[in-house]
Amino acid sequence: MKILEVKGLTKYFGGLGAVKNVDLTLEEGEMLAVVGPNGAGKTTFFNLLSGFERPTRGTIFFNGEEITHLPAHEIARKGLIRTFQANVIYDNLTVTRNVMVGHYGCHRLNPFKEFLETPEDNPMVMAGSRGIIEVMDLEGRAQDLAKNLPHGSLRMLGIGHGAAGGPKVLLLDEPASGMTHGEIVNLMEAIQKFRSRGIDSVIIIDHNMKMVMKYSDRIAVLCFGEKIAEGKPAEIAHNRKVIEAYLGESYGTA
Amino acid sequence: MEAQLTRIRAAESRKPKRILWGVVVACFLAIPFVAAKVPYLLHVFIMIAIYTSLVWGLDLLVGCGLLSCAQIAFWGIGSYTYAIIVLRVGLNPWIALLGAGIIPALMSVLLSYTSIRLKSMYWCLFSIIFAVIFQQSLLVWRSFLGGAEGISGIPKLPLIQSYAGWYYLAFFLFLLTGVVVFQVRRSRMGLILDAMNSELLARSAGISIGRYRLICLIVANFFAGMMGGFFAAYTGAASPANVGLESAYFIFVYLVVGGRKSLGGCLVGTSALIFLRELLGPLGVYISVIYGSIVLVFLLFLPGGLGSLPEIFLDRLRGRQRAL
Amino acid sequence: MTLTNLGYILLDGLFNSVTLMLASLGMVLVMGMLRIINFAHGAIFMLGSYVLWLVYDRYPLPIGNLFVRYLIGFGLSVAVIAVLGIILERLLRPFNGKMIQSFIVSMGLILFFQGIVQVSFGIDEKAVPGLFSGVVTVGGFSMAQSRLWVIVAGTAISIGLFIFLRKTKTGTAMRAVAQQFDLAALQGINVLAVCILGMAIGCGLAATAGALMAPIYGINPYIGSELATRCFIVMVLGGIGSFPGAVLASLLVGFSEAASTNLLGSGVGKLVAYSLILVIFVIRPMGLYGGREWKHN
Repeated sequence: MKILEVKGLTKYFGGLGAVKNVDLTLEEGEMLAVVGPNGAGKTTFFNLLSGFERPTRGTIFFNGEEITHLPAHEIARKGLIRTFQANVIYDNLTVTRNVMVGHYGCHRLNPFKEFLETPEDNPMVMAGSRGIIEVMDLEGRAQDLAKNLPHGSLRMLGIGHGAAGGPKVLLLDEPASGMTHGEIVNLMEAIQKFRSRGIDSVIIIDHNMKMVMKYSDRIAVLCFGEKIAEGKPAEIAHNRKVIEAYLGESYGTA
Repeated sequence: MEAQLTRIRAAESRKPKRILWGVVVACFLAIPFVAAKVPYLLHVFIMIAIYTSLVWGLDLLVGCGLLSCAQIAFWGIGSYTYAIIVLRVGLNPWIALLGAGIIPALMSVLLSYTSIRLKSMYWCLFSIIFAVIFQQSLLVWRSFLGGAEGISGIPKLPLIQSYAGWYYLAFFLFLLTGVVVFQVRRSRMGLILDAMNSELLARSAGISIGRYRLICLIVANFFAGMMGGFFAAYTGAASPANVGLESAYFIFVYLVVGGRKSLGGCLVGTSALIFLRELLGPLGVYISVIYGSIVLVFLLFLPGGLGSLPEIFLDRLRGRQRAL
Repeated sequence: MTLTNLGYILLDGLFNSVTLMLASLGMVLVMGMLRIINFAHGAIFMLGSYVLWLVYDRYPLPIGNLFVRYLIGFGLSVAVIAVLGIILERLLRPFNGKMIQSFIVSMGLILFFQGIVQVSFGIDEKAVPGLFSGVVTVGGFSMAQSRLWVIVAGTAISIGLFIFLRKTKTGTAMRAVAQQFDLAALQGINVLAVCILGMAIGCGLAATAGALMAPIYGINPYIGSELATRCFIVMVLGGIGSFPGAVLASLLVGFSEAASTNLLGSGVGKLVAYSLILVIFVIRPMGLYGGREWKHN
């Protein structure tokens, strides 16, 4: 089933076309990678999908529903959650609480119940958060303040925060940036674990072509805001246009 | 199991704080007996109660990204609401006191519409303009609101016969505000409010910024209004003095000195600053310079306010222990 | 509404707009340099008025000619406040782009400056002797000469500023820094020097407005607060950070103030003008030239 359908998505900032007429679909259970040289419009694309920017033209359908003009928080609550390229996390909250925010944001109660309950009161949420923290391999640091975490763990925490909302689709914006090789392996394992636990579909933006080739089901290539290619990793590797766009970048495939 | 452990640990760390607050409350309850000969002291404590409630409310709002200069306006709206309900509409003063809180809370609903549309800084400007418009309308509307002289001749609240009575009423309202704000902070809602520090991350987590700003506005302005109503009952008048921008800025001064998210720090800070103001007496005109200087000094040397002192202290101790 | 009314609205509107424009352009300039909304801009305006008063009336220089004395006072006021602006720039630099902290700092500054003036000179209003005492009568309306002088001088200074910003190298550099400071730095512009100069000019403009308005309205420690509110309105209506927006918005605000004051009386007039503006603010928070996201340090 097509869980995400994007048609003719366009965004102009004044005269600058950041995203031009992009069509894309995401099947349920799929991992799609969006790649492209810097400035290709990938993050803008995510912003448009998740409601952080309004498209100039085009439509976005999520789970059969149109979400094109919905505000960001509503889209998140419907099950489309994005993470950020920069380390945006709550420095002064513990790891556990950071994850809980991800959950509580998407699962609202009426104001009185929210007023009376403390964050730790809900055993289901505590268990769920613990589960996510285990997947991210941060159990030992569950009560540490986020600001004391190393970079790699912070990136993981950002993903955990997104996962805690229980999304159907997770948009990961350069999750591996700044990570060591070992951390990347952990990252991909964590993503696979999340996918087996209900977050079936993932769109990932990244520059690490090896990783992208290895793990994605399909790849879409953006260049100057336009989609220049789409297909399975093997097809993309041999695509003329893609090779030209990446002229100068070798990633070990003929 | 871990949840239980976390809760036990948290409860243990709360014990000393609870004992401290218990002592503070007991002291406050005892003050009228100690100060029986000096009713002026009771007046000062009443002012402390009023302003601390306002500061606690402002703390909530600032946490949501709302730098509200309009809080003092809602305090004023509470005063005038009380005066109008008692004198013009003729209802029971206790109902009027409640009304003094409810009207600003209702107006907050209107205001929340703007808080969704306007970003933080714009909203701050909006609140400034709102406060100015409010004070201006008070001065202009002679017939209904009494113009520059305000409304006077408000009859005393039944049951309150003495300074001690006023003190206990003020203290009760102050305690109510404190309990509500405290519970908001420690609850699930408090975590979400903390999360609103980063608007970007909060929205991506599904948090509706507008909804929680509305809740904070309603809470903060309800108590601001009630305190305003109390003040009108206490002084017997509602006037346009004390609702200007300078008074709005004073609340920020108290917040900077007290420290964000620190109920105790704000109480201590506000008390100290209000005592300072009262001590000045005839030299009262110096208050702006003094408050201004204090704010600048605190921003440079203790930006976290008094509330951050315990943590700084503990960090130093821990640092020293590790060095040993 | 009679023709006379219209005439007065025109003249008052011009007067309001010109003085407001000077102060607001100063504020936009400061904002472009510091990337914060300088809430203390009104206090600076007020200090400018007081410096003028000190030199011109309180401890008057022993110069016979009133006009010359005024000009010297004017110049000194602008110079002193410009220097103050440079000091403030240094103080506010760590808060560049940080809205909440800069608000608190400026608020502290407002209380401090207002307080110093309250303590040194008292809170009562002081009259400042006008420059010209005559009245100019044209076809039925009369206008005080001193007001006309303000309109003329203010317009001249505004045009001067416009020429400076558009036509000179330094002015263009200033506009570049205000728009995109990092690109400006890459182009070889000494951003720090430009910021310091911009701050000096911006505060100097506030002082100019203060010095011009002092003889007309008199001075007290609170005039800054009112001017600041009007400047905020102009900034927001015109679009935060936009020079042409500030010019247009000043005209809008100035004339609507004049219209409502002339037709409804000063108290109610102010109220109506502000309320209308508030409504516009809510409907279109971007302002006339807004919508541009300005960069934070």
